[in-house]
Formats: sequence, structure tokens, C-alpha cells
Amino acid sequence: MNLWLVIARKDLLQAVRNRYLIGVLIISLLISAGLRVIDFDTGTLASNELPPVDFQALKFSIAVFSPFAIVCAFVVPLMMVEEKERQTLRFLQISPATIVDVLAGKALVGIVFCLAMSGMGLIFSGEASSGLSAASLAMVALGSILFTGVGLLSSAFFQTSLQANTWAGIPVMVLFFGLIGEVLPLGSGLANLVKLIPAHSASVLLRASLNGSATVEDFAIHVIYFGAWIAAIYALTIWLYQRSDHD
Amino acid sequence: MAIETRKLSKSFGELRAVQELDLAIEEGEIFGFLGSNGAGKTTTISMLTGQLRPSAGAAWIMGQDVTVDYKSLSHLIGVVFEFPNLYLRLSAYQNLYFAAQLYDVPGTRIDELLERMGLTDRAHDSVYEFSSGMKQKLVIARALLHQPRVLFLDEPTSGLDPTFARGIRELVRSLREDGTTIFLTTHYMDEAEQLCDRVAFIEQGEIACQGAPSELKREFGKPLIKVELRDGKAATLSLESDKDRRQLAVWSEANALLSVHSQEASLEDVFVEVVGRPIEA
Repeated sequence: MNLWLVIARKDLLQAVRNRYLIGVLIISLLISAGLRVIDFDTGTLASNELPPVDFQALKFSIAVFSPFAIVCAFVVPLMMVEEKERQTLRFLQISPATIVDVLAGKALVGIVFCLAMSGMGLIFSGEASSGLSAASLAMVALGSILFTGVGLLSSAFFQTSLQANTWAGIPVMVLFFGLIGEVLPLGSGLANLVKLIPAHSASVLLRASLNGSATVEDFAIHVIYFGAWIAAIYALTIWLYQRSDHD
Repeated sequence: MAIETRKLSKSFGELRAVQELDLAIEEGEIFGFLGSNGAGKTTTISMLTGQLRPSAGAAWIMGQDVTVDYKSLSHLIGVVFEFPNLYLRLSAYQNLYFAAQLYDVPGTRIDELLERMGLTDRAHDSVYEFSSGMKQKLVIARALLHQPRVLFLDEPTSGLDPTFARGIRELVRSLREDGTTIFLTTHYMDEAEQLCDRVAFIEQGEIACQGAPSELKREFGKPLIKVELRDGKAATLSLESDKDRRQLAVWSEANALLSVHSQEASLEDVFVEVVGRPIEA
């Protein structure tokens, strides 16, 4: 069997037996379920000077991406940090598996968790039929790869579960802001900053696909931008681990 | 040669953890690498197994350069780490199954090793529930799955109760009979004395001396005997001293000796003689 799948299978078995991880995943589903009962159309959040808030896209984004945030902040970094903490990474180092195999195995598990949890999130929030299109599904898939990559990247800086639990949420908050920033009433300066966050591309395309205004050109540009960030994040993660390996 | 190093060195910044290590270990040999904690034993194992890149020098395992393609070594070596680094949420069987898939070993080998280690009855229990000794046995089983030709044992009996420790020593002996080369680090001198064909003392990253335990004891030990006399007195005499030898002859002729015990030096004594202080655990 391919070593990526061998490692992914082991990580999946470990993860489903980790009560802490299961707990945080249930929290993400509760957030999604909460979206069903919250009436976003009541009250006025934006002033007249700011663009109108697209509550439908906001609801969809939260339902899809809050599980991503949980997976990125907790599941993926903890999978890797536990290997360091328990010194099982030393066993993997002397085995036929390379660090790329180890990271790829964990990425597979992270992506599976992201997709499964966001699918459930959409069902729980009642948004399952509201915005599914080729464009939105593609961005959800790319988003799962990006969030998992960020989780792996952050794990390179932590040696203990405590460190990961304390700090791994920070890059996720930045990514999440990029996702929901597009549908929030922001000033022009902050809005420009938000546009630099790679997850922003997902948000723009999601909104366009929900409005039925997504074009092939828009789709291609955002996918290329998003893809470049994904490639850079995974390359940096592999480089950091290869650098620390053997030194 | 199973393991060979030439001026193998490792520094961490200013700290010279291992300095110009020269080793030559034959196939099928049990080689003891002895020293206090922090002397450089684990750093040496880490370099020989591809976990750490040497700062200088070279090393070969079964003729393969460890610094060139350490992944090609993975099927030749097995490592028993000092810390039982297992996946605690998985069962014993699942831990071995994972390793078997990594090394492309058939599943029948798992049952064979669980049986050999006496873990068959607990094969499907979570490793969380295992005692230290059982975890250590499982780590050894995992290291043996792919039948490595060179086995590195890093403090294999550290912290184990005497029964488990004895079991692991018996296992090491049986592995030698199978032709496996064993590189054993320990700070238990009596363990090294019982098991090893040759030992090396490492102190502050340098080899202080190496050789067969019996040779080292002859070279560095003092040939002493302890005598008990019929009048209740006792004395320790050196066989190297003319005066003591004459005194022994006098007591013998006078039929004054009740018992004579040889006071052969232990490896611990040799270590103190060579390094200048006892080994620190």
C-alpha cells in the first residue's frame, strides 16, 4: 500500500479515538446547527456608507469553513505535534517513510475531516441546497487543502500539544477573516488587507456562485491565486520539516 | 563489518557531543556502548541510524554509507528507543500492523512476534493500558518485524523491573544466536558484562577505551584476593605485591587460612579506573 495511505490510515484511527479532537469537531457541528436557528435578516449591521451585507453568503461561508477552522487549528497540528511529543516521529524517521510521506498522510486525513465536517455543517445549518455549484465545490475542495496546509505549517513551530493548542488558532483566525471579510461591512483600508488573505478568493467565488454571477475568467484567476498560496504553504512546510530533520 | 565509523563527530553549536569516534563492529557481535547520561551514546545511535546528520567523519552500516542515503538503511537496521515511542491509542496489534505496512512485511510476522514477546493475549488492548515492560517488549517486537541485520538497543532495560529486564537480556542473547549484530547502550555495567562480546566506554563524547570485558578487567583491574583467617581476622592482598604474596604463603603454611576469595575487578571498577569517577545514571 502507498505509504501516504498507510500513514493516513494510522492517523485516522488515532484521531477517531482522541476524545479531545472528537469534542472540538462536535463543537464545529454545533456552530453549524446554530446557524439554522439564527435569523440573520433581523437588525441592521451595516451603515449606509458601507456595502450591503450578503447574509446568505455569510451563512454559507460559516457553515462550510468553521469546520475547516477547527480542523486547521486543532486536528492537523495535534496529529503532527503528538508525533514529536511521543517521539514516534523518530520511529518514522528510521522507517522507509520520508517526511513528505508523513506530511502527506496527515494532509489526507485533514482534508477528509474538512470535507466530511463541512458537508455535515451544510446539512446541520440547512444550507446544503442553497449554493452548491461547480465553482463553490471547487473552492470548498481547495479551501480544505489550504486550511490543512496551514495546520501542518503551524505544527512545524510547535513541540508540545500545549503550544499547539495555545497558538495554532492564530493563523486560522486570519484565514477565517479572509473568508468572511468579503461579506462583512469593512472600511476600504481593512477590505484591501483582507483581499491579500488567500482564503479571500474562496469567499469571492462563493458569493459569486451563490449570486449566479461567477464567470470562467473569475474562477480561473481565483483558483490560480489560491493554488499558488497552497503550493507555497506546502513547500514551506516540507522545507521546514526537512531542515529540522537530521540536524 | 556490520558497523564502522571513522572520526565520526557531532556538534550542537559549541557543544561537541561526539568527537572523532572510531568503531569497528563485526557481524553477529554484541557491542556495548557504555557511559553516563549525556556522554554521547544516544547522539551516536542517532547518527548511525540516520536520525542526525554527522558534523564530520563517516559511518557505514553493512558497508552502506549512512550519510549518503539513510533511507536505504531502513531495512537493514532496527532501533529500540529508550523511550517507548508507541501509538498509545492503538492496540499492540495495530502498532505492529502499521510498522509491517511501512516495511512491507507480511501480517503473519506480527503474530509470530507477539507470541515470542508473550503479548498475544493483550494484542488487541490499547497500549495505554500496558506496563512499562510490556511497552518495551512491543517496541522490541516492532524493531524486529523486518528482521534487521543490525539492532540498536538504547537503554533497553532502563526503568524495568528485574523480571522484565531478565527477559529482555535473554532475548538479546537469542538474537545473537540468529546472527543479528547488536549495538547496546546502557549504563548498567553488570548487564553489559553479561551480554557483550566487546564494550567501549564513552565519556564527554570521546571513547575512553574499548575491548572485551575480560580483557579490560585484566588490563585495568587490580588482582586482589580477600582472605579470612581462622582467628577471625580478614585481609585484602594484592597478587602483584611481593610482600602480600609472601604473607599469603606464610598464612598458608601455618594453616591459618579459613577462606580465600578472588576480588576480580568488575566493569564498574574498570570504568572508575579509566574515567576517574563512577558511571552516572
